[in-house]
Amino acid sequence: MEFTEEQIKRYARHIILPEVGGEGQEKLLSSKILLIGAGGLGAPCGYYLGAAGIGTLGIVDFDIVDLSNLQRQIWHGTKDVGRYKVDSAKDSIERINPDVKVITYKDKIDSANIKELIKDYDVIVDATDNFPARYLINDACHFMNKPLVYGSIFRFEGQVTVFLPDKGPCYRCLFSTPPPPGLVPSCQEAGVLGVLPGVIGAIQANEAIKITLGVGNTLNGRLLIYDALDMKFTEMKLRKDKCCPLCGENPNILDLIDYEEFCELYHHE
Amino acid sequence: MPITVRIPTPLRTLTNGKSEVETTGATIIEIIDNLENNYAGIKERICEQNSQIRRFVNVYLNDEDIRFLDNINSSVKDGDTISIIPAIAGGAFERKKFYLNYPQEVIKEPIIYQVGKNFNVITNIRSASISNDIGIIALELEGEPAEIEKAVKFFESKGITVEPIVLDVVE
Repeated sequence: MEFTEEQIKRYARHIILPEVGGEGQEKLLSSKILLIGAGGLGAPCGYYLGAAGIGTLGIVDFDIVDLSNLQRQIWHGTKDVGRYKVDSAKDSIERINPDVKVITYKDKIDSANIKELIKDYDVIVDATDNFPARYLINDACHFMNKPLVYGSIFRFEGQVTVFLPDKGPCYRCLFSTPPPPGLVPSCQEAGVLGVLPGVIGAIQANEAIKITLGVGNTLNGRLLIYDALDMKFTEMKLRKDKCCPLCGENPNILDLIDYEEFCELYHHE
Repeated sequence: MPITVRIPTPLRTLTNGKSEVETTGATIIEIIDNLENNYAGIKERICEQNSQIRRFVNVYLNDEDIRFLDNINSSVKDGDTISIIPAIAGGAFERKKFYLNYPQEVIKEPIIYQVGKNFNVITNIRSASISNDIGIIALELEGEPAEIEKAVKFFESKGITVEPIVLDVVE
């Protein structure tokens, strides 16, 4: 790949790093990353991936920008209210970096489309906000052998890790099944500090870039927990569970669980 | 020296907002039982009825998952830190507004009540115009996106047309 004058200038602060260099920047420019969710986690993550010069950035989200999103979903502006999030996101990235080919999918992920969505991408970023989507993405990444960068937030607390199929635990090793709704926090407890997804989404971008470059140590095998209120980062060991229903010794999840069916399942558990 | 237990955000309503509490006990299960004595209701959020840890919660002794130690019987010594790590899905709960247009034959049915009862959503009527032959309601639904979607489908199954309100007309 030949860099243009503009690209050499644009990526100079990357190229000068021995861990990146011209070769690393070429890797970034030829990589394909899929971001699932264009909201609070997706915005900072996608911004940094775009600025870093990820060659192809896929963004999946079926939702429309709402005024109440803007407190944290920083790539949408007031004028974007009522637009598709992926359209607003694409405009934001193209404003920063014309090198990035942004492909948008106004789809709701389900068992019928997830494999097709992820198959051409090198790294998948889970920036969604609900359990059925998270289990679906985890399972699909396991079956398709795709590295998954996981991030999740609640009020003042964030969790982030990396799942590398065959090289470590998966999400089901951590939590084998989703919680029934009565035991997840009630609506009175809802809400999220706007900066929190900014921190977690930026860490997700960092991990996706490191996986692409093949440098450093990712969070594979470690769960990083961020408490924004106490300003504490804590790290927990994540181990592969030999009883994991997906990647354990005797798995019983052999195919994707249908999204709707799965919803019903866990609402009646 | 007591044992420190780190309380995750979703359970802090039970600990008066405290992110860390101190307790005593020689094993994980003793500690959980002691926590329950001080903060009623916390055990059922962490454990099944048989006292085993729920599958969507993990308990860590220092930085090690107790499932890879002796589970709830893992022994704990003074100065240890226990962390409770629940699955969190992320995002904020959604709040969406819809115009509901009732067909005449269902105007008198308590459909909004049924939605509140059957689905995990908060219903909030923001404006309404109801007579014998017209029923138009601006309704706000708050909850997980999947639950809101189900509530919308339920309205539609009753013959009600549901239109999202894009601009905030009833703020």
